[in-house]
Amino acid sequence: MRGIFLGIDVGGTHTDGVAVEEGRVLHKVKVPTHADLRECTLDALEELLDGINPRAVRRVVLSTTLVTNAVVQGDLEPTGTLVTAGPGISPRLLALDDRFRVVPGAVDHRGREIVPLDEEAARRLLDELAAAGIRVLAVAGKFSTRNPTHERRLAELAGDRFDFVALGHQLAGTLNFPRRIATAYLAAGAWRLHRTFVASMTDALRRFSVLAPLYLLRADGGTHAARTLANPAETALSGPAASALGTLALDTVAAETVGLDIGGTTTDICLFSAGAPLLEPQGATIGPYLTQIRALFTRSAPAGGDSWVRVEEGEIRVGPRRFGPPAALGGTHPTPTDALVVLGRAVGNRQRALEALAPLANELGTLPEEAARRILQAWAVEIAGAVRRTLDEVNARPVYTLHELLEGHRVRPARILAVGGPARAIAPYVEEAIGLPVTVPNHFDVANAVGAAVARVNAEVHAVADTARGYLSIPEAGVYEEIPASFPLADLQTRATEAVLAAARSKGELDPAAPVDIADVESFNVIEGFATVGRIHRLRAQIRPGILSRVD
Amino acid sequence: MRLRAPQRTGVVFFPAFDWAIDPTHPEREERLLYTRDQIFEEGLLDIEGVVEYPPRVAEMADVERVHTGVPDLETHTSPSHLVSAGGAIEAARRVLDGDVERAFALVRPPGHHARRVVHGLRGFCVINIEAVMIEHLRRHYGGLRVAVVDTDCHHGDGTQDIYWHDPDTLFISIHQDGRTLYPGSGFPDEFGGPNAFGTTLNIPLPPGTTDDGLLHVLDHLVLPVLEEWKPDLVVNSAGQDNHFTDPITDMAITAQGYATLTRRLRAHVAVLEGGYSVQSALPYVNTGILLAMAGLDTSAVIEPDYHPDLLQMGERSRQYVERLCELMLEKFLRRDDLRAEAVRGRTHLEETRSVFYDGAGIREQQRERVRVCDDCGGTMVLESWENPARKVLTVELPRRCCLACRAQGEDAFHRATTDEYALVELRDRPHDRVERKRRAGG
Repeated sequence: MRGIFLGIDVGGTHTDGVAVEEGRVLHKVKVPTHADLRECTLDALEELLDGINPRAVRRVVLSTTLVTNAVVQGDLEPTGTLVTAGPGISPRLLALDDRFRVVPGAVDHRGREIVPLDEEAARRLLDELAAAGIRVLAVAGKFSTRNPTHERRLAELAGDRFDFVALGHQLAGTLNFPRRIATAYLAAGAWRLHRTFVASMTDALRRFSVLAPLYLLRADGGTHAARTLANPAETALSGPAASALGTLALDTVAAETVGLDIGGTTTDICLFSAGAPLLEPQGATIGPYLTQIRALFTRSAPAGGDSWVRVEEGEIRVGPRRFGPPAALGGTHPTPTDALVVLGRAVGNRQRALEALAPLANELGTLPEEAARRILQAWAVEIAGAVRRTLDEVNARPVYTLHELLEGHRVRPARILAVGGPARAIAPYVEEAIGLPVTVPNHFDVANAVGAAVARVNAEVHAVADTARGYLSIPEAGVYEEIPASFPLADLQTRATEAVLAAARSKGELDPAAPVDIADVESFNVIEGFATVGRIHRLRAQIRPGILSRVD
Repeated sequence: MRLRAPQRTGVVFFPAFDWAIDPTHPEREERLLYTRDQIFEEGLLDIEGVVEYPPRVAEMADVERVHTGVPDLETHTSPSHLVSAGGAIEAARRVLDGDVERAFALVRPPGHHARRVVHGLRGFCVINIEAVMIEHLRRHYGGLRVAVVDTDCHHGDGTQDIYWHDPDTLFISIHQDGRTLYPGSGFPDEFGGPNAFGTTLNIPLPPGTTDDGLLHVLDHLVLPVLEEWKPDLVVNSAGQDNHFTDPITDMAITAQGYATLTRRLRAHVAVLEGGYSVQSALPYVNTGILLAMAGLDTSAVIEPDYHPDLLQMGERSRQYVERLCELMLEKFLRRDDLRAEAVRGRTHLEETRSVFYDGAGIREQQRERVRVCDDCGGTMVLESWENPARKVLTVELPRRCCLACRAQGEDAFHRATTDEYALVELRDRPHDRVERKRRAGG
């Protein structure tokens, strides 16, 4: 793919942007993040385009915290939730707010209808919600990924009284009813906010004479054309995903590798195996919501350059709290950044940094320079602990076959790639604390924006063929159709491959080099009584998260 | 926005999707497939306070602590058995370590028909996973008094055999009457060996027993017995083949029945045993058990095929169950007197029996001789053979073996020759050691 790629990552303190062409960074910018995300995005864009022919721009990718902020601050639009449940957990335990309604109707684990949808009840509940002024709806059925008929019918019954209806089965094909409810709920609640944001950003791009499509970065590190994004909540947590992909772009990640993005508030950790970032097994957690949203596996340690440093019982502690900027940059509390400033490894007011560290140095009975070194050591030890916990968590993931258990692959990284502002200065300390070589690539200070710029389109679908019941379901692709009893696993692979490619195309320009992987293939006999009556084939097809090109 | 469990509950889920006895055997790959779908779809493993732990792989030493294998244990023990037993061990350790209040080992293959001596596959079982778990716990956590409440529809004859002489293990089996179902044992007169009289209790239930019948047994027999016996640890062998849809049994228990039983029994560890209605029962029963263990509402766990009218228990059956519970409780409370009568004037008790291995198609003969002892579980000497030319002798010194029993046992071991026996074992439990003599040439 030729042309100029613009990547902008709106972070907590800074908004970073890069322009990349043919694997080279043409231009990088850093502007302060404002309360109005639109404004700082435009500031970054304007600076980036300085000296660049806007017509040569091939893609613009934004990683924003718009939806995350709305979730955390409770700014989602009031959303009506309609669910169908059936046997199992009492659906009332799953209510996300008081606009949650249960419609009689149920589907079982095979996708068989066990209780018909009560359309009369549905109509009444929809009337109620509409009368209460609700304009967006989340619809989720238990096992709707096996049979979406009830969800689809509820959408029909909702009609045009609602501006947007999110259907759970279309948003993720995995099994998890509570997460499906939350996912649809966030999709509906963020819909209007997202639409307004995209419209205004698209206008702005046109004003800058940029005709390239606007993409948003998702939590799984994939780009998605802003105008076709069905679930804006997928853009939450795109920040850590941007840095993970930036890391991938800025160095050769062949063996198992730990990625660190050392920021002001947190240090984000991700893992790479076989050249690709690891994914969350269930989905992203956004604010208080457990969702099915596909996300890169990232963990945040509350130990960043601006974390509060103090001495407790003779031991240096770093984080988890922070009190504004470092003392050297006008803050009130000592931080690791102040230690860097004292040692001449970061820019700032050294006098103020020295003053901030003086009480700590006193308590430790040493000189400020030595105290600064010990603070950096303590910080690195904190990061090392978080890396160890992350690896333990990944390696404790359950598996369900003897083969996987006995041949069990454990993630044992050989090296660490560190990005983020303080990465270069802290790298030697991290190397010592973890005992693995640490590399800091070029452009480490804007790795997140680089990741956004070169992130490729990815996609995933889950496919189930139940030949005994005679149905094929690929929920993410809207496929639910009858199949013959002879339908073989090979046909399911073909259908899933087609579906994942179609899904990817709908998200934007496809990387022709990106292969489709078939994973998690299962094929079981269906035995009823003592006779085999069919087979259940299941698999997952995906285009993995990845990058369009390396960046030097 | 995350559901919170009032009781911290561990789950070891190991469906062994790549293991079957054979492709259409009830104990086959997809037995827990629909259960996994239900558990995942319900989001049970996302509940705060429900913690999933991967199984550990049990060691051969854990298996040897319980079983004598003929010709050896390696012949019979596959990785699947080690993981299944290891899953039970992991679940129990998490409880004893205080990580969780209770735990459910949702594992396969099952084990409760596996007896002390293993010649092959019996009732879908080779290795008794509960016994391997319990003996592992005793080895690592000290001498626990353990009650096993076996609610599988089939009599837990393997577990009964292993703990027949153990006064520190109370084994209670509730099952469909042995006159109507495999393995054909588990009658009220099976009451424990001479040194463990009354620590085996069998409650055979008539076919068609409903939730009411099962819960009556729980409330009027099992819970009072547990109250009186005061175990340190309660283990539920949680077979799910009492379900009204099970293809190989004739009972009428529902997911609600299982959930209520789980809630009232309050077992520390539940271990899956049988249950072969893989689509209509297991997904719902396991959801019910897990929710009940976690202390959450189970009222909506109702099977699609559930019709209360079809699940009525006859009046005669009801009266039978009530009477049986009265008699059994009375007998249990009089166990010391009954034992005194049974062993009066005797130094040893001898028994011969014949054990059929349905999975292997072989018949084993056993002759068992146990020392009557007031001080310990009594030394037991067991001869076992399928082929009379290759007899096996195993001498078991019980966990709290007294000096007299040790002397007798060691003597029996030293006197036995490999001319007479293909294998002679001294199972020295106090020292967690097995000593062997093997006939040359295999």
